[in-house]
Amino acid sequence: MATTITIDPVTRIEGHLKIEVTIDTVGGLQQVVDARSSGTMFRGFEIMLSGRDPFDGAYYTQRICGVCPVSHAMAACTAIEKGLGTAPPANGRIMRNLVLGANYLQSHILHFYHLAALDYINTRGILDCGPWGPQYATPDMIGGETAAVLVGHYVEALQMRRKAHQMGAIFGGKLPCVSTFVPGGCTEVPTAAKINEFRVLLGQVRDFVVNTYIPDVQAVAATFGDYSHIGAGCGSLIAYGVFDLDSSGSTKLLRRGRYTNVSVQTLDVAQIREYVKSAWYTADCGNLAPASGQTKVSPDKAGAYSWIKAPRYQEAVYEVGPLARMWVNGDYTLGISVLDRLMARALETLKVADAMAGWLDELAVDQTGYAYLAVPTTVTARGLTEAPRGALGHWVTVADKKISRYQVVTPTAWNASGRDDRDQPGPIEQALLGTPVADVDQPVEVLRVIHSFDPCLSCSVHMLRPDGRRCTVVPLQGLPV
Amino acid sequence: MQISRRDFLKAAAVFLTATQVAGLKKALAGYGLPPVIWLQGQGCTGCSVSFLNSVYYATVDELLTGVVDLKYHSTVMGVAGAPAVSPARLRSVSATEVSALSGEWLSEGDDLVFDLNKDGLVDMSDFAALQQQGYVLVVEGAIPFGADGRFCDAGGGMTMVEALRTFAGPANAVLAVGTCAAYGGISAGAPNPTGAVGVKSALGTLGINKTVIRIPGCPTHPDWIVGTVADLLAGKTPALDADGRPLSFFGATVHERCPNKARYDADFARRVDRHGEEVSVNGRSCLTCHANTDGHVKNPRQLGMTGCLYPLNCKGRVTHADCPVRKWNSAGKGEYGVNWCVGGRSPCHACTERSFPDGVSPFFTPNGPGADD
Repeated sequence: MATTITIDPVTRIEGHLKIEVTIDTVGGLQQVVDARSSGTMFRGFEIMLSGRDPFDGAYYTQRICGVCPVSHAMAACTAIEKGLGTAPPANGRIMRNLVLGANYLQSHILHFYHLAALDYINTRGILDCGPWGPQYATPDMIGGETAAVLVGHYVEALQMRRKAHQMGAIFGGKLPCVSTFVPGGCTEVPTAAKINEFRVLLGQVRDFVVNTYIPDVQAVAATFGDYSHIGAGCGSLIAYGVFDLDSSGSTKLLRRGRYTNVSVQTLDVAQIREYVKSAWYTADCGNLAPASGQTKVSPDKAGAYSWIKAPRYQEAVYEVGPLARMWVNGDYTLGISVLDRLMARALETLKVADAMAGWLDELAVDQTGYAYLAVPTTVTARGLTEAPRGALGHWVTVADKKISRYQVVTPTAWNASGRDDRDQPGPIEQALLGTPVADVDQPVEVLRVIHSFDPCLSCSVHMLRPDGRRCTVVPLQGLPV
Repeated sequence: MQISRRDFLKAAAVFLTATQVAGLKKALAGYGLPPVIWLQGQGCTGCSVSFLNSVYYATVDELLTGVVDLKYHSTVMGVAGAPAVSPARLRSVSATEVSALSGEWLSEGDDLVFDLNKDGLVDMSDFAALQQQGYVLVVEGAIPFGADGRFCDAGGGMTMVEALRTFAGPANAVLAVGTCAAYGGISAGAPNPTGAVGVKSALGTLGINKTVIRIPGCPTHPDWIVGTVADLLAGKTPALDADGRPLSFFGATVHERCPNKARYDADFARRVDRHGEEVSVNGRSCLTCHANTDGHVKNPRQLGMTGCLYPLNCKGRVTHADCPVRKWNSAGKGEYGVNWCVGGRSPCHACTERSFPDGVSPFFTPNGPGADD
């Protein structure tokens, strides 16, 4: 008999997400047969940005996400610059790439060790205190001495992600949330001392990626071979591309494109629409391109279950993230699954770190990275980039020197979206289908799939019994009381 | 009444069962480290990420393994769903549990490991200490009251409003971490579409009268959190300003300690009157002229320049924080950070203030040629 379970909150993600999965036995295997993903927080950034100073966007939108603020600053600055037909001086472009790259290193290391790894490692007897205990402990998890070693790496990774942030602050002013990204470039100036300081830290983080992070992902892959065909999802990928290598942005470290029907194809951003059938917004906010998008809430809307709009490309479902970027760029095409997402993310970390070392050499020492831009009277433009967890776009309209419309399509909107107007489930919802679940009281398989996307929102995964009762899961390990 | 450990041992042998021994062991496993419950409301997780950067006083792994018992934090904890929420609800040992504990209290050798109140004796007053262990509540993010609180779920089927109602009352101390929790911040930006407010205001609405220590910043600085918690754990009540912020971190303005203050005093102080209002000449602000960089004004000011950024709308004069000294993203223990906003040649935008963001917009003015036209 089918069982519906709700995990609420889904932990080890950024923000508030709720996912409900129905579990049934099909062909002798207990597995997920239906899934619903719900974003459970709404702040209304698009409403709040209207009427503000156009240049406030780069600071304001960074507060959408404290894990990937740099990407929002990049998208916001790029939108204004594109709208004015300009680009920052080379030093500005390079310093912004370096800060963005530093945050990629930070975010990817954080994802594997601190968000995802506890789905694979049995830490009982090793990490029994809060916040790690109670923990899941299923028979398939890595235990014993290997687990102890991996926990050691977990602690080392805390230090490495901190160093990556320190690196980003050298040209970013501070992290999280940089101060130096402004329309017109980057206000920092790369002195020889700063470049050297950056290079030393980069070397340390790169060593960790090569000697620890990538081997650890390989170790997980070796133990969890099944996950190379679990969590495939929609099978189509989109990347806006990121890290402009010239002022026009026509060459990028990771290029723009999409993968569908077994081939990489060009991406026409004008084909993106957002749908709201399953989201708590009024019907007239649906089926709109982001450039003309609207955000009007309807918290009592019948049939809706999420605060996330559903972005689609030519009405089709697409996944975004490091795997999409690496695939479109031709760097990783082994498959689409939980393990492929983890592996592509790790390999991308190294690719970005190596590119950063080269960018440091390109900086013109003591030269400005900023060229003055006046606050524009009118602008209609978009800024496309990639957050660590996938394609990010800002669409901005400025009238009378004020923002009149601002629409943001985040990577997690793509990945964690619910049903669209054609009732097509979103990428995470699709990826969960067929996921085996051995023990409904420890649905760690479900979390492995969700975490592989590195969702970044306020989510929870709701798992409800068929009779609608919340599934009771006993505390797994000794607690006071 | 205090009974010596030895007397207790004798008595224990008579009435304790194996189950009771196990119960006590369990209770004590989590004892010793003060429990912390960290709730995330309407925010961006940036303050949690910033907290992970802690190193000046202690690193985050040192803090979590040896200083506090972080019972609930949804970004880092092991389990999800119901088992994740349940430890957050477990805040003290029940009376029944305490009576069941008596047994094994005494069976652990002579090292007084259970002398919880450090009075040299293991006795019932230690049980009481265990029972009243309490916890520190840390709130990150704002609390939206619109749509019956449904704009933000805290997990476990609770809205953030309900979570705050549940956990704030019994807490020993409440810390509002970040400007959203302190004042509403970015989450409450005009037109505040979700009815978001800070913790103190939310508690007022809920009828809970409680001191709230505000540790603002967008995000907040890890040292401001760790330093304040360290004071609390040492039994010290941090001295607070009128707005509830620890004076040790928020006692002076950015401007007062800014390395560019001498330039300000020389170039711009005369351009404002004693009330801080700009003096104008022939209807034009003197500072507006310094905004022009096309060569006909002495000492023009632009983004990316070293020196005082006051004519770019720098908010350092009204912003309370120790950023000029402490800086951000420290490299190690006792080391100040590698950079900060003004160090990066961009103005302070007052992110630790109640007025952030609406009252301090635009965050900066991009001065350049013809900017005074």
